[in-house]
Amino acid sequence: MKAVDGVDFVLRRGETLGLVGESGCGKTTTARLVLSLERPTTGGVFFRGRDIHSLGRHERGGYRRAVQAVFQDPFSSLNPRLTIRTTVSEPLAQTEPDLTRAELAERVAASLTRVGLQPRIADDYPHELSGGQRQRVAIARALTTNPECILLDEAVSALDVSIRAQVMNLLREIQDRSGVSYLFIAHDLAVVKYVSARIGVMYLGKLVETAPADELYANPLHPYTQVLLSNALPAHPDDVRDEVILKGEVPSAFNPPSGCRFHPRCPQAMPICGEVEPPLHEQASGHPVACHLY
Amino acid sequence: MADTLLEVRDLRTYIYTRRGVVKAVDGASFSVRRGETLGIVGESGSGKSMTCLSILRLVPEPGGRIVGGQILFDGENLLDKSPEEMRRLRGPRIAMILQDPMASLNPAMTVGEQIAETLALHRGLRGRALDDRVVELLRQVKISDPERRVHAYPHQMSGGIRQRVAGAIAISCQPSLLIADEPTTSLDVTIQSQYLRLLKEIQRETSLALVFVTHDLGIVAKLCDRVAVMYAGRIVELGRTRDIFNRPRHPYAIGLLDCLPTLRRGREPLTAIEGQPPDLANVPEGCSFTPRARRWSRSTASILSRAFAPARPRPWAAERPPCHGRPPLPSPSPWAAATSSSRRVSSPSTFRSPAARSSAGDSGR
Repeated sequence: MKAVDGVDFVLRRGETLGLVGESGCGKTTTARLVLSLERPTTGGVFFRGRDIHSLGRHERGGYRRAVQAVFQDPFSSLNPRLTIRTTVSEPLAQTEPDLTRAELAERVAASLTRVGLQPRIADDYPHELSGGQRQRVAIARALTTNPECILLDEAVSALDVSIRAQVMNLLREIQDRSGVSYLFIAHDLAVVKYVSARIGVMYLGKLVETAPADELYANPLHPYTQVLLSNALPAHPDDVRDEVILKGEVPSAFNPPSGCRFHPRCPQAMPICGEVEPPLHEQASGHPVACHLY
Repeated sequence: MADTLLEVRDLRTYIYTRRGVVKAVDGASFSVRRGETLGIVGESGSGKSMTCLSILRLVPEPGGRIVGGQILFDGENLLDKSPEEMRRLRGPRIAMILQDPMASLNPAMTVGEQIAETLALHRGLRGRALDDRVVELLRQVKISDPERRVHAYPHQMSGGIRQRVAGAIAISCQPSLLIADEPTTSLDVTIQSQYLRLLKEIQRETSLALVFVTHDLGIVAKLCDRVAVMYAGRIVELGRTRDIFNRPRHPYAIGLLDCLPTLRRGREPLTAIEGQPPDLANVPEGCSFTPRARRWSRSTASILSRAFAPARPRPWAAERPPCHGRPPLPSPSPWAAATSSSRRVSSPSTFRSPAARSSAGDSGR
C-alpha cells in the first residue's frame, strides 16, 4: 500500500505548516516518517539539509532532541503509571543523560511553568488531571529538550472548545517566545487556519495543494480543497454556502484510481484526469497545485 | 402549546457514586415542537448525554437515577411509565442515534438482520415484506447498492456508512422524535456534511422532531432551529439559533462563541474561557459558571452567587437565560444600559435584591 506517495514539503524555522485532509489521506504516516518511526520506501526526510534516516547513532540523538511530538489523545499518550515528573523528564533522560537530579527537577518545573501548569503537579499521576491539563503535560514533555520543531498530530482535536482555545493560544505564545516550528496535522480547517502560516492539503497519499493560509482560504485552486472548504461548518446561521457534496468516500489506498486520484469524485473531472497524473506545479507564487485545470 | 411534542420540566438526574452524588442533570427544562430541530450544546460533562438518556429512561443503573422533574411526551409523563411501556415506546415513537456506530451496532449480525430485528419486533413484519422494507430503508439513507449491502457486517463498512445504518434503524419504525447524540463527531468533514444533509432530508420527508446533541456550534448554526446551551447540568440559555449567535446573553454562551476558531476569523488570539468546567460531584453554590465568568470581578461575583442562584429558563414561559448579569427579554432595564457601558458592576449594591428580581421576572412572563 502506498500510504504516502510522493509528498514534498518544506518546514521553515519558526514557521507553522498545517497539513489537512480526511482519514486515510496519509497525514499520520507523514508524521511517523518525520519522527523516523517509519522508513520511507524512496525519498527522505531532510533536517538541516541531512537525511534523517542516514544519521549515525549519535546524530540521531540530536535529531530526537530537536524534533518532539504531541499526539491526539492525552489519555493514551501519557503512561498512567508514571508521575508527571517522570513523563516530562523522560525525553531528557534519553537525550541528556548527564543531567543531575536537581537539574532535571529544574527543567521539569520550567517546562510545566511554560505551559501554564503549577510545578507542584509534578508528583501527580495523569488520572488526577483533566484532559486539558494532560495535553499541557504532553506539550511540556515536548518542550523539555528545547526542540526546534514540534509535530502536533491532531493535538487539539480531542479537547473541549473552551480548553482547545486555551491550548491553541498557548501553542502560539510558545512559538512567539521560542521560535519553535510546528508541523500541525489536523482535519479541522478552522483550527488549522488559526495556527498555520502555510497549509498543505492531502488526498489519498498525495499533497494536492499548498499555499499561505490566507491565500488558501481566499483562493482555493484544487477542486478537493474547494470541496473541503465548502463543507466546513458555518460560523453563523446566516453563513450559508453552496456546498459541493462529494459522492462516495475516499477510495482504498491499496488500489488508488489511475491518473489524478481525485478524478472519480471530482466535480470538474476531464478525460485527461483519468489517464495522466497531474504534477504539483506552481500557480501563483508560493501556491503550487496538482490539477489539470491549471 | 398544541404543537409541543416533548416537554422536559425541571429534570434532575443524579448519579450516586462512592465519591458522592454527581448531579449530572440538575434542573433542566426545555421543549421540542413537532418537526423542529433543537440543538443541545455544551462541553463534556455538562449533562447533555445524560439528559438524552433520561428522556429514553436509559440512565445507567445502578447508580444513576432520575430524582425529579417531568418528561412530557405527547402529553404523557414518561417518568410514570412501566419498563414494558417504555420498551414499546422506544423505536416506534422515540429513537436514538449514538456517537459511535461501531459500539451501537452488533458486530456479529449483518446490517440487514439488525434493521429487520426492530421492524419485526415493533411492526410485526415478516418474510418478503420485511426484506423489502429493509432494502427500502437502506436506500432512504442513501446507501448505494442496498440489495448487496444488507448482507454486509458492520466491520465491512466505513464509519460514515455505519452511521447511516444506525440512522436507518432509528427511522425504521417512523418515530416522531429522534435523539441524536453527537452522531457525526467521529466522521470526516465531507462525510459529516453528507450525513447532516441526509438527516435534514429525512426530517423534511417525515416531519420528525430532532434533538441534536453536539459540542460543535458550527453544527448548531447549520442544522438547528433552536438551541439550548448546557453547563454543569443546567440549561443556561435557550432560544432561537440566530438570536443566540447574534446576541448571546449568558456569559458562558458568549464565551463559547468567542473561543471558536472560524474560517472567517483573523488570527487574533482566541478569547479562551479560563479554568475548567466544575466537578459535578461538587458544584459551587449559586451560579455554577461564576468561577469562570469574565464579566465580573471575583469578589462581586462570589457575593452575588452566594446570595442566590439565577432563575432557570422556563421554555413554556418567556425564553430567557438564567444569569444575573443580563436583563430579561424583551425590554432591557435601565440597569442593563448602565452595565453594558461599564461592562462591569463595581459593587453589589447596584444589583437588584432577590425580591426585586423575582417581581421583575414575573412581570416579564
